[in-house]
Amino acid sequence: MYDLDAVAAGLQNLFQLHVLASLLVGFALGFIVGAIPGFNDANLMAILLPFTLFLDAMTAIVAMSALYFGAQAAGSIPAILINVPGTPGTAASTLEGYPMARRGQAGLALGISFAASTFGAVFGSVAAIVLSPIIGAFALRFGPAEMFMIAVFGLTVVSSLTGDDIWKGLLASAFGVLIAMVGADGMTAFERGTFGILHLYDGVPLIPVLLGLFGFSEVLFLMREQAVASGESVRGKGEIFRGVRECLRHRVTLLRSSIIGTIIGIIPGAGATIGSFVAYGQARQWSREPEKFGTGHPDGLVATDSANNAVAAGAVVPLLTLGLPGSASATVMLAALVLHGVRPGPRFFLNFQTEAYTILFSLFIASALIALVGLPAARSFRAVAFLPTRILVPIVGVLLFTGAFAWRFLGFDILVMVVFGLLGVAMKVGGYPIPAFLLAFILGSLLETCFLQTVRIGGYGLFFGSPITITLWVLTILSLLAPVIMKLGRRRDKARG
Amino acid sequence: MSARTKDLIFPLTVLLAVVSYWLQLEGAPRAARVVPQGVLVLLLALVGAVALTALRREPPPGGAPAASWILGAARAGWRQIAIVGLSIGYYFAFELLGFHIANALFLACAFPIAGVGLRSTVLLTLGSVVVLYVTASLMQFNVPEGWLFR
Repeated sequence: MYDLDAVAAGLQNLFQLHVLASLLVGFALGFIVGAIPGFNDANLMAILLPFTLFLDAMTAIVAMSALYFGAQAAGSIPAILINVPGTPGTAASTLEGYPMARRGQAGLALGISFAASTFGAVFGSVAAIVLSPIIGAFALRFGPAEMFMIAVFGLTVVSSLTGDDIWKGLLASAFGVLIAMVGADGMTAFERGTFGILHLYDGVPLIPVLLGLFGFSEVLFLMREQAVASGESVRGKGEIFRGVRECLRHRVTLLRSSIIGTIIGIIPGAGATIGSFVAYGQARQWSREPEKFGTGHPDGLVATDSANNAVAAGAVVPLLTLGLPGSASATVMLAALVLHGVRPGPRFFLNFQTEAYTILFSLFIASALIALVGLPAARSFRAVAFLPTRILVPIVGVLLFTGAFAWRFLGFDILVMVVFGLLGVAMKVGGYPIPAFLLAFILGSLLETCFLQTVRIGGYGLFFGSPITITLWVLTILSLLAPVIMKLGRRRDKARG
Repeated sequence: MSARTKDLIFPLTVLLAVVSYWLQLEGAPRAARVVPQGVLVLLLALVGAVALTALRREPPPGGAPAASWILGAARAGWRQIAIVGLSIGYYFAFELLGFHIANALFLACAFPIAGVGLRSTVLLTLGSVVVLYVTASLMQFNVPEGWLFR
């Protein structure tokens, strides 16, 4: 299964000066772009794609892979500092990272984030190198019924994010599914809920929704404060490295979340957002102090950031072995590969073995760069949390407008961002969980498509027809029951004193 | 604003969306409406459950009349309301005057609203617009020129 000659040739390809230089430049560009909300890696990769045609295939693909990794890691910076996720996959990082920044622990949070990101990415890369040839065959077994169950499992995890009132969580997630079903129906092209607006024909755009719910709503709340960091400022030089040590203390969460992230990354179409939310939900369920989640708990941040980056590495597996991109940026990666005559698919490891190992090892080096570049850079980024809001709010406002527009180059998306910003305010004041809405919004179209495909192919029986779906049913039920069981356990412990 | 009112804003928004979406589903083929209809029914049930829980709460003692409550909220949150208005205005400026002029106008109005003095507003606006212009040029960002300049 493993051809050592191909492994050696792959490494030889990578360790050439111009290839390593392209890896560094790609990573740096991705890191800068990931730190700017809205300017996502997919946009930049698409813009840079024509320029890569002047490079040889391996140099271009390595640069693209490094850019993809850099953006994923840096997306946590604005998520932690200003509650605006730099990439959709870092939305869950706001849950614990931002409250930490608000307490004046921005440096600590960034330290935790980069250490967890590095671990997750390294873990995912190693798993991708080892498992790619094996998992290529297994992933072919995932049909619509299995994908539907993955989506259902993701939504049940939302119940562990909803705090005390399960009804509010369910309402938020059901509304997210409804909003995901705005636009032309995938099977009949019938327009649903568009009110005749042409720009909604393809559905409600994800990035403006994300920027509105998290960023614009937070901008409105921030206007009441002096600075993002309202707590006692912790500015010591060693704060970021204390974050690294803090991250390493949460070894179990780090490992569990990296495994969850890698598995979810390998499943085609699941994506970093689902991976980080599932890992967060699991961290909360297993935590000894779940009531502290949402207030800036390091365990939650370790979970989201390690999973998010493990997904990025894991997602390369279906891309290479099945030719199935799991995200917008992976789609651009696919386009880059095809443009350079390297066509991914089930026979990829037979036809392009050397190229496959070059790509996989470049991911491993890019993972190490997260710590090497991210940790020193974190000190400069930390200052944002201490900027006065009277200066920060208008500048973030312009960044949000630009980010919303940049997704599809449509001015209409600015209005979408504002509308969802107001929805975010309504949700926040009423205590409705925004992450539940967002996750359901992302999963909505997948749920509908897979449900209809399954029913059409083999009826409702298919939902219980394979060991994978049955396992997912069991996990779903356990996920729903776990909070209840743990609540009962805590009550019993309290009664015993 | 009472906790009960805060709880009810989101379900009422959902209810409005449900009714609008339902009306738009008329005449849809079965494949296009089977899942949305299921979700709509679920949403109606959940809105009912959440609203009932909120309505069961004790009403705030000596609650102010609606008109004075709205005036009070507007007075307390005038900056936020102004920023929302400015953001909607940004969209129209963006379409009419283009990316760079819309940014300049937004920043010139938003800095004073946020509490920045006049001199700092001028400096910050100019600085931000220049940085955005240079970044957009370097990234070859396809910024719209605005309807008036086409």
